[in-house]
Amino acid sequence: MKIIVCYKWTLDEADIRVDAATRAVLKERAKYRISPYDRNAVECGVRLAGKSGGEVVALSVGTAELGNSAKDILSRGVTRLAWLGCQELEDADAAGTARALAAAARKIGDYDLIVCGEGSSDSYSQQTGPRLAELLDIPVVTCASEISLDGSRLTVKRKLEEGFEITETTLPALITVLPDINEPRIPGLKEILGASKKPAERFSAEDLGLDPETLKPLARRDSLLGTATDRRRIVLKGEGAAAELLTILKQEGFC
Amino acid sequence: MADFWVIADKPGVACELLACAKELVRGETLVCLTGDQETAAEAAACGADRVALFEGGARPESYVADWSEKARREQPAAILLGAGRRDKEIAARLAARLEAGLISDCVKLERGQGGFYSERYMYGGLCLAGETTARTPFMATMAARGTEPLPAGAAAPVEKTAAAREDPVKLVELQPHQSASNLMSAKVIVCVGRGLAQKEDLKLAEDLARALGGEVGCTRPVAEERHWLPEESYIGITGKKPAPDLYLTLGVSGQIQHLSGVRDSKFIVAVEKNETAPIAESADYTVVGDLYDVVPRLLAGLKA
Amino acid sequence: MYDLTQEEQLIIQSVREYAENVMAPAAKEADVTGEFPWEVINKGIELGLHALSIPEEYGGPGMSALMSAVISEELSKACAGMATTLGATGLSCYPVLIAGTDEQKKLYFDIIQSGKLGAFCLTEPGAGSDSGSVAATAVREGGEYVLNGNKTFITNGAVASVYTVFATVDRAKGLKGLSAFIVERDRAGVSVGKEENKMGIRASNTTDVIFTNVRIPAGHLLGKEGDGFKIAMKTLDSSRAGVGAQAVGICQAALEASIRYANERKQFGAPISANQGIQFMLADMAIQTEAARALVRHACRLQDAGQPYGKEAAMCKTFAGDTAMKVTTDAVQIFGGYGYSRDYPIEKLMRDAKIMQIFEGTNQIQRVVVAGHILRP
Repeated sequence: MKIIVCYKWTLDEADIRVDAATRAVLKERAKYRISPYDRNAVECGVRLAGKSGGEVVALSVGTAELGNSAKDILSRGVTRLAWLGCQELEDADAAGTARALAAAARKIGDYDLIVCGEGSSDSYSQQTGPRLAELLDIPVVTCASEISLDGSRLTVKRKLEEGFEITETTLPALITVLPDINEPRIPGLKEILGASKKPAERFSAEDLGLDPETLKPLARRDSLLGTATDRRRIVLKGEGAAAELLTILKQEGFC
Repeated sequence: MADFWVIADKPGVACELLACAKELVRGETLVCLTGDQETAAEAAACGADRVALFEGGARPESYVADWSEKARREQPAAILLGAGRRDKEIAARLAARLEAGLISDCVKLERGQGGFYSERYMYGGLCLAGETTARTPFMATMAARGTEPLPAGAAAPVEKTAAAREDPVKLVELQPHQSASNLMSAKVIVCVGRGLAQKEDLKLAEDLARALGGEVGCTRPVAEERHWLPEESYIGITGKKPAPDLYLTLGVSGQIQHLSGVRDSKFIVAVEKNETAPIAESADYTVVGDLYDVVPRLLAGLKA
Repeated sequence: MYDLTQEEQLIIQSVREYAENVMAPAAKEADVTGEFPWEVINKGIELGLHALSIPEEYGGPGMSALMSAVISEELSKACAGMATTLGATGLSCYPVLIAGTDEQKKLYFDIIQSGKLGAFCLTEPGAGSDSGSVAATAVREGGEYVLNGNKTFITNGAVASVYTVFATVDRAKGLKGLSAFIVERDRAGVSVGKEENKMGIRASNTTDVIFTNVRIPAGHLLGKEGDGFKIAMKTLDSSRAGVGAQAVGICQAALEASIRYANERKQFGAPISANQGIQFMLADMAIQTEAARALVRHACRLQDAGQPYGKEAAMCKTFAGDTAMKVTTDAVQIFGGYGYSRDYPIEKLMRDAKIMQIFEGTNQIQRVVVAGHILRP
């Protein structure tokens, strides 16, 4: 059994600042980390492989910066890492990302299951998983909250707005998983210290037969500004606060 | 002239998308594609010029192959979908097949000389990104906005097509959620956060919602960690993004992921113990105090 | 920090995640009930946080003194009691590291790395700072030693699976009779006595451990007969910076909570942090915390470089312990009535801080050590 788990190396939004005057987005102090949603994907793959005795290949695509994720991802129970570093992926959208991932997955070959997170913590467009499945022409089930595997029969419980949907499909397939599917492990000291001993392979676009130009985004970002909040920001406190609020709610026509 | 597509499997979503698309069409025929009969009927009455009803698939996702082939044949100018989990999967798969760009969770969509211009949130709602795509069709999933549907008129024609392709994913069972949430259409929402001490105290929020003629929602942890309210009740960037006239929070500190889900509320009022909680920056009025003290006073005042 | 490898940064990331998400949420209950938080500790053991100093050749993480201190600080920031449990296991490993044979190391470290806790048994009712008056005896009988004696204030006493025990082979010899042994918990005659109901670090387990005619193989003697005092002193030298790091963790927790509170708490229409009196308190707390941290890490860097560090270890333990007491007392002051309330987590820090001036050599004894070093001709 060979499982590919995909992850994205994203900026931690908790450290991104917005300039109050210009609304400029200040990313200088933000550090990269594995997108939290993808930690669930990695954990899901690792647990499945643990049960079925298989190999888990962590896969990611990005710029050369992605190389810094190697020890982190390799400390999370995966067997090895394969990644594509390519400058054209700098502002990649899901289309370019999926195209690169698909080429890399084909290169890895013989995969039974691909696991992705439900979305990424930066863009959360939730496209990459399903796009990748289409490019590889394998079935996809998104938003999995529970899965079970019986031979090559994969049963997935999906959590949708209207309820749960139980589906069945045969491998090879791709799933995207919700955070409630598992509690990702905290890497232990030994796993971290052993990470550099695990194999990590870097692909170039040429290795994958990709024309780097085709990785550029189809959705072009023209602007990125901090979100403006235009609220009154009035604070009411003390004994009379509730009464004051009632008066305001009446004035505004809510009661 | 090309068509302008709207794809939906729920009547409410279809009608909202049609209302939105009506503003964007430049001479195109507005076509609604659906696998759901009820949706087809409502779409036919509420703004679609034509409805294509697909039959025979067990799930809305079953029609992706049929729809992508149709799109290749007919070359629509644009395809809009909702931003539900099914919609987003369908949109991404169609976009991959059509080699199209796709803007997810659009909060604003305009069409000018140069084509479509959209806005969407990034980094958990911290930033707003302006995006365009060069390819045709233009594709976007639209965040639900509670837009009024167009007034019902004469029914447009509905053409039926049988699904030609088999879905490799088999539907085994659908377990619908018990309670129906009306958050998206509610004029008033009372939202509870972690400041609520115990499940029984939800009654306070329910009483307040009733007195104001509204619905009760919650933050993600209240639904996903404490399971005090069903999952479809949680509000935030990854959950419901309603736009009520009044959004009143009880014990919500105001994480960015929550606040970006309620940005379109007309009026935000917070009841929160901690004066420096982020919610105070994003509310019109913040009552600093214990919700267990403030809410009973509000209820007494509303009854009087 | 400026001198960490990528692995070390990742380790700190994991430790933080464990401390914040696993330890911290359980800290209050363990403090109130005094019950041993097995679930939390087992998770820490799984991560390898109880066996930091075990060398790589014995399958351990082989953490440097500096890394052990950084880890200890992070853990103590979340709960000094739980950090003590994990740290005390490391303490119990030192006599083996210092004086053990290859075989003894395998024996001891295998037990620890199978997921068990250890305890260091030196203190007795009549032998606290004065290790020379240890009354426990070890009598050689053929290929065995027979141990008898009562140990007290033993961290992990009831929860450890293996102990390093100090006993005298000849009471007449005083310090020169003191010897160190490995004793497994399940040997006949080993029993656990009364558990202390402590003022602070209540999540940790502190008990009497009683040895009654406990027979151990002669091969469990660490070093030679009479090496005990040297082993004990070396052990305490190596562990002092760890205690200093714990104290710094407590300081940091108190400092961060105080800054947050001073910004939130409004009096007379402004946050109390706008008041210069509060600002100066916070600044002093920050200065003292940073100075204690620097001293701790200096001692560790000396140790890692293979240079003498006994004086600096004693200095940092003393300074950090005293600083923790001072900083947490100021934190309670800044919180005012809330600081004094057991509903808020501040008074716990003050109670936890106190032990840092007492255990593993009181701060008075540390000063004796420092004086000894600086007055040496």
